[in-house]
Formats: sequence, structure tokens, C-alpha cells
Amino acid sequence: MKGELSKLASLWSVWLAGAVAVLVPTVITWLNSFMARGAGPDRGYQELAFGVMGVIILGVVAVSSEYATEGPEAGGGRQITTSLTAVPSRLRFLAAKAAAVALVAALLAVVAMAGTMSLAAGSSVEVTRLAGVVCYWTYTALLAFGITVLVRHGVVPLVVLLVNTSLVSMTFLLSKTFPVFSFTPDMAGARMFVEPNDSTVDISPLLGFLTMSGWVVVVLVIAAVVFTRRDA
Amino acid sequence: MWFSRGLGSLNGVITIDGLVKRRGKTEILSGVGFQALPGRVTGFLGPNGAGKSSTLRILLGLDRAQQGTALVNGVPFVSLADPVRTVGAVLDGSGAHRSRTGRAHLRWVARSAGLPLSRIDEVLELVGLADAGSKRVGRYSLGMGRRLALATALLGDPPVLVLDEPLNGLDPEGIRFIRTFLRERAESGRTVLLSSHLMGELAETVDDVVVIDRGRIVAQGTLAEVTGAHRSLEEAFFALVSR
Amino acid sequence: MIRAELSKLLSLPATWVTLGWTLAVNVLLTFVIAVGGSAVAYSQAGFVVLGALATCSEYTGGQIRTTLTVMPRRVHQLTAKYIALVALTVPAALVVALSGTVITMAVLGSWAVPWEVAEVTAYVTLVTLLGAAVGALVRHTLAAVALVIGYLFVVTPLVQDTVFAGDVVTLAFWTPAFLGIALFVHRLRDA
Repeated sequence: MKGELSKLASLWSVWLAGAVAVLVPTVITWLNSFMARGAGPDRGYQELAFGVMGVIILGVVAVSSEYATEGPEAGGGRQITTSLTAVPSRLRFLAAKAAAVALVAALLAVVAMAGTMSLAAGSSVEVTRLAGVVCYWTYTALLAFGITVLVRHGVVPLVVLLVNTSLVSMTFLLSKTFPVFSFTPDMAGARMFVEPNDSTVDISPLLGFLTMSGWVVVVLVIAAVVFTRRDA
Repeated sequence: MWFSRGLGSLNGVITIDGLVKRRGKTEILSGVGFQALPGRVTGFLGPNGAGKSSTLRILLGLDRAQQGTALVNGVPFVSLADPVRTVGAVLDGSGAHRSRTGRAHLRWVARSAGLPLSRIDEVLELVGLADAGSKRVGRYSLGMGRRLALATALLGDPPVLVLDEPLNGLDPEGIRFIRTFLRERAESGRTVLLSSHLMGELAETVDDVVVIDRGRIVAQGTLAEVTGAHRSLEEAFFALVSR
Repeated sequence: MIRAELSKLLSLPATWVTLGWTLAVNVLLTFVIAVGGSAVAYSQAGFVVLGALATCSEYTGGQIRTTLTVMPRRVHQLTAKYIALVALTVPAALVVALSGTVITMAVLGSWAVPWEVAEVTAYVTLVTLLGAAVGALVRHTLAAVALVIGYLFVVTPLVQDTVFAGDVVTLAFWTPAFLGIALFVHRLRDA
């Protein structure tokens, strides 16, 4: 676990991820406070949903860096072989990595939240909703992590998850046509801290939490099973 | 050397003069200079981190030196009219993207110089990769990757070959192949410059020796001159670079 | 040189995988959303990846060293890559733009103006080149993709009325700027 934390800390892309996570929501909130746009009870909370980009990068990079063969100096070796000879138990390796990712994501969420909420004057600070933000960020990081473990390459999960964080997300559009898409992890999870707006299906924060937890568990279990069975 | 630029006498000559390279505060090269001549195999020897690769990378225009010149045929590498037909370079690894096939890799290099695609099979045959040409580079062994790098260097049948640690990753058979091959190249009048930290493996292959240590040339001359009174090149080397 | 760069692009399996998925997702989304054209708003992500791959794939397996020893004139080499990329992207972008229009016509029965097809094609090509330029600068596919997609999908919707908006007009300014910076940096730095 300590080893995994130091691996994360030595990747410059992780620092980029951290910067994105903290800066995107704070800067957007700050800009919006000038433009008087997006005012309302959800001020700050909505912006925090974009900062989740950062933890997506974090989750993806934590895994893809193990498989990377790219870079100005890379000779084609993959770090994963070193990692697995250092920690032969794959389950422990994966668990330690997931724990490191979750910890960093939660930490980033708290920092970003402090920054954003201090700027989003007028927005009510509710403890349960703030806890929801931390939970959402951590879960999203773990989802990105799990999917990247499955595909062993960072680009696909990164693109899909990042594109879906955009202002008008794909799952949001799909949930308009097919209500079942309201139960995708991002849609359901966001209910933990954002009021539902013109949604076809009403999901309570608790149900949102349970739905997203379910997704995370399923993805991580599949990732663990696949990871322990296949050749590195 | 600038005044003799373009003269036929410089064909195939590598001239390195007063190279200085700093990275941050550390000086990697402090005034490196030597020549490699046609018809001879020049061994560029030194311990790990002595500045061999940096010198060759500057010679090939990959890195930039703060001072000094590195010329092929009297001109900097980047000004060569037809680099692929002039200099063949083998640097570390395969130099190929892992998801391309060996043949596809050679194809783009051939196209970059307008070489006939028939050369691809010729060089694959030459380095003993004829059967592996349609395999992905990612599936190659270390030695096969090195052979592909050599095949790439030979595509344009250049009069000058520059090789960085060509024996790395090769099995005994591969080492023997490279040695005889490089000797043949030199005997047919071409220039061969190779770097290595393996003295014993090279003594029988090289004509001229340049020894570098901590960014400085500490000895240069024919094999006999550098070996001098020592029993072998290896002993001479350790006497020269002992710290 | 352009033929060499084109040969590189075409022999990379990732190029075809990216293009295939982009087109497939685009067609699927056009059907689902059924408002035509707007599917490109998502499938442009595939083109960002294509552009980033074109420049960043040089840094796998030390291929950049081979590239620069056989094509030592770096500005020419990278320009040739840009041109090869455009040659590959324009037909693909045209297919994506047309597929959107054709499906929309079939579903909604409305007619699209040829001008729109041209605009979508131009936009997608600019996005691809932006991916390539940023890729050449940061030399890591993931980082390049994250930066460009982050910009196109998260930043641009929030700064719509400024010079940073991601429409054809602003991209027509920013993309050449980044292409130029990438050329400049590529020429100066150690490979």
C-alpha cells in the first residue's frame, strides 16, 4: 500500500490529475460567480461534478502506467512485471492499488470541495451532500481503475469516461430516451449531491448511493477475477 | 574541417570535434573528438555512462551539443542529402513500434528514402529474420529486435554504419554474426563506428580504438597502439579508466 | 516523406481500431439521439485519439530514433506527418459527416445542406490535428487525449462566448497555432 502510494506520487500525470480535480471546479465556480450563471441551490455542487475528471485520470493512470511502453526514454519494458515479482499475490497487489487510488481520490475530493464551497457563496453547506461528493469521486476513480485493469490500456476508459463528464453527457441523453440509463453509475451516483433535474426516473440519494456502490463492487470483482487469472 | 566540405576525400569519414554537452548542471561530454575512417572498424569504448551514447546521438542529430561539431562526409547529419543511403544507425532496442510487423516497419523506412520495396526482403534475409517479417515487433525476442534494427540500418546499403552497443541482447551466435558481418563491411571499404563496454568481445573485431571515460577521450589510435604494453585491450582499458 | 508517414499510419492497427470504433459509435449514436449531426459532438473524441496516436506512437519502442535518423529534417518530417494525417482524416471525417446526414434524412426525412457536411468535416479534421499537435508536445497518448478531450468536452461548453470556444472558427485559429508550436519544439529539443 505504501509502495503503491509512492508509485502514484512519482507519476507526473497523477499530479496533473490532482491539479485538474481541484482547479476545474474551483475555477469554474469562480468564473460563474462573475457571470452570475448557474445560480441556484446546486451552486458549487454541480461544478464539483466536473472536477471528477481529475479522479478519472487518476484511476486510469494508476493502472495504465503499469502497462505503458511509451515515452521518450521507454525501452519497451512494462512495469507490471516488476510489480508482480515484488508483490506476487495479485489480489493483494490489486487491493493495495485500489486502496491507494481511493485514498487519493477522497483526499482530492475534500480539497476541491473546500475550495469550491468557499467560493460558492450562497449555497447551503449540507454534510450529507458533501459526503455524497466524496463518495462519488472515490467511486468514479475506482470505476476508472477497474475498467482500465480489464482493458489494460488507458485510452479507451479515459475517452469514454471523460466524454461522459461533459456538460451534456451521453448517459443523460440516453436516459431521456431509455429511462433505464438513469441507473448508470454516473447518473445514479450524482443524485447523492445534485437535485434531480427534469429526469424521467426519480432516484433518491440513498438509492443513488446503493446503485453506484453496486456498480463499483461488480466492476472491481470482475477486474479482480480477470486480473488474477490472466498472464501479466 | 569546414574548408574541405564536399571534397571526395571526406567520403565515409566521420569527424567529431570538441563536443560539449551539458544536461542541467552536469557536463556529460567535455570536448570529445575523434575520427572514424572508411575501410576500418572503429571501436568507441567506455564504461556505462561515460558518454558513448550521447556522442553517437549527437552525431546522428538526435541530441544537440552546446559546442563542437559532428560531421559525416564533412557535413552535419541533418544536412545530408540522402541520410538513409549515407548512414545506417543501430541504436538501443528495435527502434520499431511494437504493434507494427517487422516488414511494415521496414516499409515506411524504405518509403521515406524512395528505396525499392524489394530491399525489405533482402535485408530481412541478410539478418536472418526472413521468417519473422510478418510478426509483430512486440512478439520479437530481444535479439530479434536488434536484428530488425540492423536490417533497418542496412536498407539503404550505406557506406557508413553507426552502432550503439550492437552486441547487447545477442546470443553467442548473434555476436559472431555481427562480428563477421562488420569485418566484411569494413573490408569492402565502408566505415563502421560502434560503441561498446565489452572489451573482450571486441578485440578481434576492431582496427581502431577510441576510449572515453567520464566525458573525455582518454586514448585513441590503432588497436596495437592503444593496447600498448598491456597484455590485452581489456587490461589496457582498465588501466586507462581506473579511478 | 509523406508516403513514409502515411505508411506508418496505415500499418498501425490502432489507427484502424480507432477509426472503426469511432464510425460505429457515431452511427449508433445518430440512431439513438436521432437529431443528426450532434453525434459528432461525441464521436469527435475518436478523432482526438487518432491525432494523438499519430504523433505519440513515435515514442513507443524508440521508433522516434529511427524516424529522426532516416528523416533528420525534423520540421519536414513532422509536417509530412501532419499532411499524411489530413489525407487519412478527411475521407474518414467525410464518412462520419455523411453517415450522420444520411441517417438523419432517413429517420426524420429532413434535408441537410452540403455546407453542413463540409463544416463537420472541417471541424473534425481540425480536432484531429489539434490532437496530433498536443500529442507531439506532450509525447504521451493518454496525457494528450486527456488534455484535448478535457478542453473540448468540459472547458468549451463553459467558455462559449470567449476566444476559447471550440467551434470551427476558434479551432481554425488554435489548431494552426498549436501545430506551429509543436513544430518549433520538435525542432529544438533532444529526441
